[in-house]
Amino acid sequence: MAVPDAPGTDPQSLALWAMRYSPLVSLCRHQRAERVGVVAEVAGSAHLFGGLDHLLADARAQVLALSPDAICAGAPSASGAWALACCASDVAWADARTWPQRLAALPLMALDLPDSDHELLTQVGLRRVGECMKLPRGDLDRRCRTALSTHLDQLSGTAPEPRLWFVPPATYDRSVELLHETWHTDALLFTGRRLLGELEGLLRGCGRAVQVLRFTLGHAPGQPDTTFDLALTRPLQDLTPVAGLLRERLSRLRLPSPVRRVGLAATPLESWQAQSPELWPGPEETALQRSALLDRLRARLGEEAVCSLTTVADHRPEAAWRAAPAADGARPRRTAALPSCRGLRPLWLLPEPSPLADTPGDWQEERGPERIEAGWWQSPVARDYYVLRDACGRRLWAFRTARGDWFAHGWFA
Amino acid sequence: MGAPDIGSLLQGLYPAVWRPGERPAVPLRVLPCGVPGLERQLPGGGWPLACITEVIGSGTGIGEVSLLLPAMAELTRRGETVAWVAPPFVPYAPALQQAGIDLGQMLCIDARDEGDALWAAEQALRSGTCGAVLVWPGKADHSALRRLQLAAEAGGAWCVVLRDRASAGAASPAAVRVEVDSDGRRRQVRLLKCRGGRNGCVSLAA
Repeated sequence: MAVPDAPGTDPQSLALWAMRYSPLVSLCRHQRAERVGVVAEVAGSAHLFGGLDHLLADARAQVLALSPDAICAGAPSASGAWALACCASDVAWADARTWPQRLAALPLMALDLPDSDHELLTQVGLRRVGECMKLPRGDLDRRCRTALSTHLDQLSGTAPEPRLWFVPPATYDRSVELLHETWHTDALLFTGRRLLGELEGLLRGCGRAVQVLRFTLGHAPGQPDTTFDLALTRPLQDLTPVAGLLRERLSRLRLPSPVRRVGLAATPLESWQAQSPELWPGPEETALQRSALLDRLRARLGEEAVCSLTTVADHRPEAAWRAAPAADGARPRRTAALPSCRGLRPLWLLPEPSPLADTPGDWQEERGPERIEAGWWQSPVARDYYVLRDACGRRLWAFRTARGDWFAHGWFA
Repeated sequence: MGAPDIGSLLQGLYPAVWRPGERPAVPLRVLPCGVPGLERQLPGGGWPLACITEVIGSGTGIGEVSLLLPAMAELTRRGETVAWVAPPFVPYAPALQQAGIDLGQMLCIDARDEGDALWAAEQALRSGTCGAVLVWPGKADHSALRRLQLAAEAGGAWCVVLRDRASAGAASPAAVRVEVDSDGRRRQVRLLKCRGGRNGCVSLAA
């Protein structure tokens, strides 16, 4: 499969994107058609996409989203696919049976010969590749500066074709300069999606996943960049949901000035095991959905807004709990056992004990006292806790200090 | 030949239509309520799933949330997540543990405003990963509650909306509406609306 793009675009970007289809990707350049692009060896991986036809249709839809100039083509040989793609105006596909015919019909410029050779063949009166192939090979090679017969054999797929394969970078860090300054979330999201597409290609090609993505929005020179991280609950290879998270994050962001450059950096995790999808949704599927929910909530509400709770083995009520990071539910977490907590505990704990009137007259003592004396190593407390109830039936958890002051500390909701 | 009864005609045409005072023909999925007096009143002996349950409390400290704790404990025992969206205070972990709730399955979500709280509740309900979502929405209007109802149906989750007394008179799409009050000694749980069950009042120990 070959995907050419307009000159001036960075072929690395296409190569990273194309790695989603095959790990064997090579950069190409066509002087005469003024195109740069990539070829990918997809015969080995086409069955994963439902056949070559589906793969090509998928690639074309994605390529159109990346760049309106780009097209794709496929042929049995790499240089053949590249030549076909540079001459075609739309998706072109040839299999082993139809390829000799398609190759013969290609114009002479598909060979991408140097000017002297091209002129020579044109002056002889050759217009198509097929006419060229009919000529005696020995004479062709003697008159041309390039090894034309080998090139023709490679095009038709009968000669081996050594290639330099694209080696992806170990970490992804790329940025795109915008054509003009913008404040708009949608414009930033469009570029963000493009970068995510490249990163996803890299991840699929290497069989890895990412967990933390760092976005950088560059402003005018001299101004500091706006940087934010998207941390995922679990490593992902399919980055489709990340675009939604990015939208939430961008819409919440307050930009100091218009954006000129969008960058994305991520380090793929070394060890990651892909999960086989199950026919029936099992616990693994539920854990995946749960982590997707956590990611969505965090992207909009902030990193600290979502948490779980856990108990701490401490007698002091305010130290007996803490917020814990919300787990994705894949494995159960152990909570600390409370040392001999037999007293009743309220459902709502006030953030700080708040002073009550001196003698809580309209409060009735329902239960108590429960003496809690602990914390000498940090913040000592000596309190007698009571459950109080007022005439409306509201139940309060309050304590009396050694000095006789009353404080409210919680509600039995 | 007598004219067909309008009730039986309706029942034949639209079996899903529920009329007051009648047990629903469609079997309900319920969550065991775990509160002895209340179980008899609720349809199927528990809180209906994929529906809104509205709990109206007359003030903090009445015991409106503890009414729901046995059902939540049952859910977490089954390994399902319980999400609390925008609670008015910090839920106290030791009290939850005393009530039998597995804290590993608890999710506390803070929201800056009403809109975020409703959005977060809807996301949690719709995701299908939460068994129950408790939300303190403040002043939610009818359409906001309707959205929650649709999300609860989509995710099959138990949605609990906790509101104050000012909203008791407003129309609500909730399947069950419960008002919790206290006379100083005992909790009075009044069923304002109970689809498929019986309205009434239950007196519980505080």
